[in-house]
Amino acid sequence: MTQPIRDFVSNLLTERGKPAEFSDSDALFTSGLLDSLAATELMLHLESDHGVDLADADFDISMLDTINDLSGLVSQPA
Amino acid sequence: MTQNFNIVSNLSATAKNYPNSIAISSGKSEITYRGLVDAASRVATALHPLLKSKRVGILGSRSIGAYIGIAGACWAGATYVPLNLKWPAERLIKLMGELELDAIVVDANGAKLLTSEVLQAAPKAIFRTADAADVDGSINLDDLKQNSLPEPISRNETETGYIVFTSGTTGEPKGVVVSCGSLNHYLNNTETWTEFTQEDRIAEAHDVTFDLSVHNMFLAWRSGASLHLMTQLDMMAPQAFIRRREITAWMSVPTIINNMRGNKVLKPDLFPSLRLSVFCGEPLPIKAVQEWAEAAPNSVVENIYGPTEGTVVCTRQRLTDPAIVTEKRQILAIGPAYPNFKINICDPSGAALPDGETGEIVISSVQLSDGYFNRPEQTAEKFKVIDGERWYFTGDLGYRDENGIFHHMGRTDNQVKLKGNRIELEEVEMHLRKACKTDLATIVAWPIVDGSAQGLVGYSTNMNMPEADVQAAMKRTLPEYMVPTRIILREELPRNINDKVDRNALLAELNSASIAPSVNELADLKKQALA
Repeated sequence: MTQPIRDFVSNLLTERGKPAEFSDSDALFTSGLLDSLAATELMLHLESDHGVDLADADFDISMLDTINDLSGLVSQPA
Repeated sequence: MTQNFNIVSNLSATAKNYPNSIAISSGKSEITYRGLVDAASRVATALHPLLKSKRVGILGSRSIGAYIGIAGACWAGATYVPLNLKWPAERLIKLMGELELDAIVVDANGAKLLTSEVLQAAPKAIFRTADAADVDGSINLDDLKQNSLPEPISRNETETGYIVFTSGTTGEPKGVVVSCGSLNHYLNNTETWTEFTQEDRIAEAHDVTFDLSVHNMFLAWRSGASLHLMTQLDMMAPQAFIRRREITAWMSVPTIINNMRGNKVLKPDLFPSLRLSVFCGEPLPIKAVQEWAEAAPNSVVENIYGPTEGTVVCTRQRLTDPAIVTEKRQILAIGPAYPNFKINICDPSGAALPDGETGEIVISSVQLSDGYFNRPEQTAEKFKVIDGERWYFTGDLGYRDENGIFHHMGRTDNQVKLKGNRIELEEVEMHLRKACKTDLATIVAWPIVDGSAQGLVGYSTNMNMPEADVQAAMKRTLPEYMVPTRIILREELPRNINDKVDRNALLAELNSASIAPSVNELADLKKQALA
């Protein structure tokens, strides 16, 4: 599950003229690498392509910050 | 014994009463009150011999390190000056030069801004958190072992507690200077209704550059409550943060309610742990606040109003049933004056108006700020002595009803609030004109939803400077949230009868179908509303 998410994040970085090299534990948003618009794009992608329910009361947005956390998020049973 | 007005004087007592309580929690890290005071006094021991201007910059936010820097600077008897992480290098350099800082404290995100050109303008003394990139000659906070200041340095009430920057009409931000005494008055009046105890878990939604952060931080440090720092990411969907941490006290700009409503997250009983919800900084739509109240059934909800120049807050209105509504705008009233404030509604000549009539909100209090740092002319323009009393002219429009309750009706000038950020359109315009290389350029705030601006649109008459180039140039001198999302090029700008650029005509055009936003722009606006 990790590779499609990784590709999506790489694209977000490339679109913003940033090098698309990062480790699975690098902070993507809290480090300032990506902005809030990128977070919104990622959220919409998680919702449409991975069935993540953004309106869920316990949807934890802090899980968007690293590839490791994101992998955990999308592999959770719906 | 004279009272110590040092703004962290209570922190020392709190740490003695609750040494093992959590003071600050951020992600997976946390620090106890004993740990915070220990770190702050070690920073203060290193800072104290360096103090000349007595101003210490904080280049960090939303991190435990930034708060240690603030507590340490105050402990040493200095003024803390938060520097915005969103400022471009040019602005950072200019303001650091003007402030003549004795030292800066930087966290991991702050250290990334210390390029070689920024370092040339920065003070020699740089303290960095352990997780920040090493900068030549900087000192790691963890390496400070010496502690010879067990108590905060004594300060009197006229000394400056902090300086917070806000947008200025001259094209540059201005620093609002707040004394230790003014903050003390604010906290004394505010703790009577926030009633924080060591049981409270307070969410900190905002950056330390926003003066709402003063409220949470210093009230927590008086009471032993814990401060839970949110990231920018948490702010986009705060529900899990509030629920998992069982947050008891929330304070934010109302935009966040609208985002949650838009995402269909806000449901009844979502936040049973909240006992206090406070909104500030923008008009509070009545539908939105009532939905929040249903989501937080155990919480009182307060709407507070106040410019930074009045030290955080000067009126407060609790959400009641039925609610006290400003009918024309369908927003919650801003409430009666704070106990230590006199508030007048004035006509343009400065004469007080009777109840029910709309005019400028003018405030007087011991809590007023001392004015703007190094800007005597701008200070004199906004702070006026009338019959021996000092008044601040807020530029906000409002009226007082027959029950003594104030209602906010907009602005007398071109100041807007964009997602809680206070912006003078003139400031953006200065930078737009430079970027467009023409004086025939202007800015409008558009669209307006529930009385709040959602974005900025620039107009330029220089057909040879395309939109992308203008935006790129503006990003070099302005923080990104102040750069217009769209630049429209046209041969000439409409004029009003005074031959000034007619912003209203431009707004009317934007609102009409003739310049409907493109599909991409609609998508962008939706994203921004979410962000």
